[in-house]
Amino acid sequence: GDVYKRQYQRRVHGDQILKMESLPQYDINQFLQEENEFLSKKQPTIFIFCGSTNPETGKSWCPDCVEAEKPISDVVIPIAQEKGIPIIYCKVGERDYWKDQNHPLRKHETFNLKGVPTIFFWHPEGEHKVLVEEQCFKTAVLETLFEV
Amino acid sequence: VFFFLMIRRPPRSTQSRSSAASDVYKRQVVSTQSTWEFNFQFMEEEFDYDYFVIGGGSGGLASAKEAAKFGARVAVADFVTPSPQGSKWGLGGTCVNVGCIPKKLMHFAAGAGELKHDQKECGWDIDVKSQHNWEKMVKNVQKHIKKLNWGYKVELVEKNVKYYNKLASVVDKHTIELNDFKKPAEKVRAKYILIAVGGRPTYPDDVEGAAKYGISSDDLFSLQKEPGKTLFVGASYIGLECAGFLTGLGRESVVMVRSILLRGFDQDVANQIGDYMEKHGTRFIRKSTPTKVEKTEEGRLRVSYLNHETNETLQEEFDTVLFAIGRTAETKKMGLENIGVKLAKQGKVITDDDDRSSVDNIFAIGDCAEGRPELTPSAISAGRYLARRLFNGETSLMDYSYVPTTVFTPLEYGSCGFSEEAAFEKFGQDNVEVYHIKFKPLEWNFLPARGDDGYIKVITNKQDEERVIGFHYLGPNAGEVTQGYSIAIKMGVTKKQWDSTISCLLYTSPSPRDS
Repeated sequence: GDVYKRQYQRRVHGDQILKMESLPQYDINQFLQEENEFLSKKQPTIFIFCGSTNPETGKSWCPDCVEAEKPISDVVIPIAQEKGIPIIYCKVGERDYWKDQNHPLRKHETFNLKGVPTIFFWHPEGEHKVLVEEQCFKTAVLETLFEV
Repeated sequence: VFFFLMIRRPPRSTQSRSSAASDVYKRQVVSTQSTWEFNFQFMEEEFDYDYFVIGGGSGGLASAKEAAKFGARVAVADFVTPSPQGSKWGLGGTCVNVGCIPKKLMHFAAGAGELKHDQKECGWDIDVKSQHNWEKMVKNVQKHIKKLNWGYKVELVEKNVKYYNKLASVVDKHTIELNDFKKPAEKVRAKYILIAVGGRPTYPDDVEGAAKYGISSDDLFSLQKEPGKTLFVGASYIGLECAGFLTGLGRESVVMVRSILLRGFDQDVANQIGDYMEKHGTRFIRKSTPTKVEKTEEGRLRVSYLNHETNETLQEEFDTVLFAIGRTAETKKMGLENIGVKLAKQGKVITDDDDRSSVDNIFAIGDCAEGRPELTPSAISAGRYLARRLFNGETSLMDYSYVPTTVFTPLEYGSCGFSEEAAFEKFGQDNVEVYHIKFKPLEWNFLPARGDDGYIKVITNKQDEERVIGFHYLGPNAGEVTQGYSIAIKMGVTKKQWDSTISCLLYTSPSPRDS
């Protein structure tokens, strides 16, 4: 069914722009379970991969992910919303789990992640656009994701 | 010392940036996430940019990015005028879109197909008769190219280089007009201008139907329809490389040659390449040029051609005709002559050792500059050296001697330095010693049918301690092999030093080291 679509719509109140923390979040296991569904939609989709939240600090253990939150909230989320592009926000796990080279998303056929944060603009035809780490800090760079 | 008001650049809106460069760039503020730097060195208010690069190819992009590193305000204008058959492409220039990159991928695809025969003998369960899917290969090649196009766009934004997807022409020595034929044209002013517009395939003007029915390398790598039986007009590296891989991919390929193969290259090796290609299924029509291309009722192309030896006019039908007779610099209609930039006969920009044209603030590098090798790494290097001279006070000039090059014909050819003919001409035949050997790579022995097609030639200058002045390698992995030896040659290796190096590769006897 339209799992992510339901979760997505639940958080839209009129014209309120979604901020990253209020995006529906998938932990790594949920994501791997549902990924086939996301990809089988054959619809351009934005995947955002970040380090999981440290419960003590309330923020991600990954400093780059924390720094990218505002630019992503200012640029990627509003434009995607405007264009009707779904966003899937996945927390890749704890620091040690992510640092292990055998992490499922590092070896993944499609995603093949090299670092976090990663913004992965997935296209059904395979012409994906990927931005990694400090590329996610600059609003001008984030805008290029949506350029034709 | 100038003190400038530190003005916060307004946060970028989510709408596309306005095309007026002057409001954003009037104040030189290089912003990072939370710090503000400004560089007053380039604070020339009368110019929108310190460096305006026309052409977003190998040379242009490299030079622009290097200049931006030193704090210059840089812009790049890149625009692809569609080919006669309507092909166009994104940022990155010829090499990325319709040259080196797709060529090498398709060359590899053809080689991968040939390997099926070796694989079978190696013990793998392979169907040597399996067919090649052209559409799938083109789709994957284009996917890679588009990734590169986007990657370059991101890189320019990251490095604060402004990108105009517009056709640039020069109005005066400091003013550039930019037009995308959709919005009204705009003008910008720059202190230095770099012409890096490269070239495009030349169509013959004396062959009826050439532009109407013929394609070029601009179209081949994105061809949606299977090319079928193809005629390649021209036997320099573009014609031979393309005919070579198309043969390897299982299509009937014919090369029409006016006189010689690979003009400018060592002719002994060029002829061996021709022999190898003929042995492996490419047909050559020699001493001939086309006179007419017309469409048949079945939708094929009928080519009429004149054999210059027999003076006969003959005809043959093909599915595709590709012209690879040469390339012309894209310097026409840019306004260059109007402002005094001197062009050579074929349209290339005449430059001095400093890459400077006849107008003091206008420079040119790469394929569009007169006398420069038409090679990507050479253009990249020249572009970087130029940016360092203009914006970092450096003085090093590009050294164009002993630039290695590789031709990706089915049997690859790497060379560095003089051809035999050029060495004889420069040093005199008596002062030059030529060493050579034919060889067969060891791994070829799974297929007894493969012959001693490998060839190495080393040319030395007897008057200078037998210094190696020319190296020619015909065989697998020619690029990798030649790259290594080119370092030694550039450092002035002598034949004695060459011979004293122990071989690390095995070939069927004799070893190419003993000679």
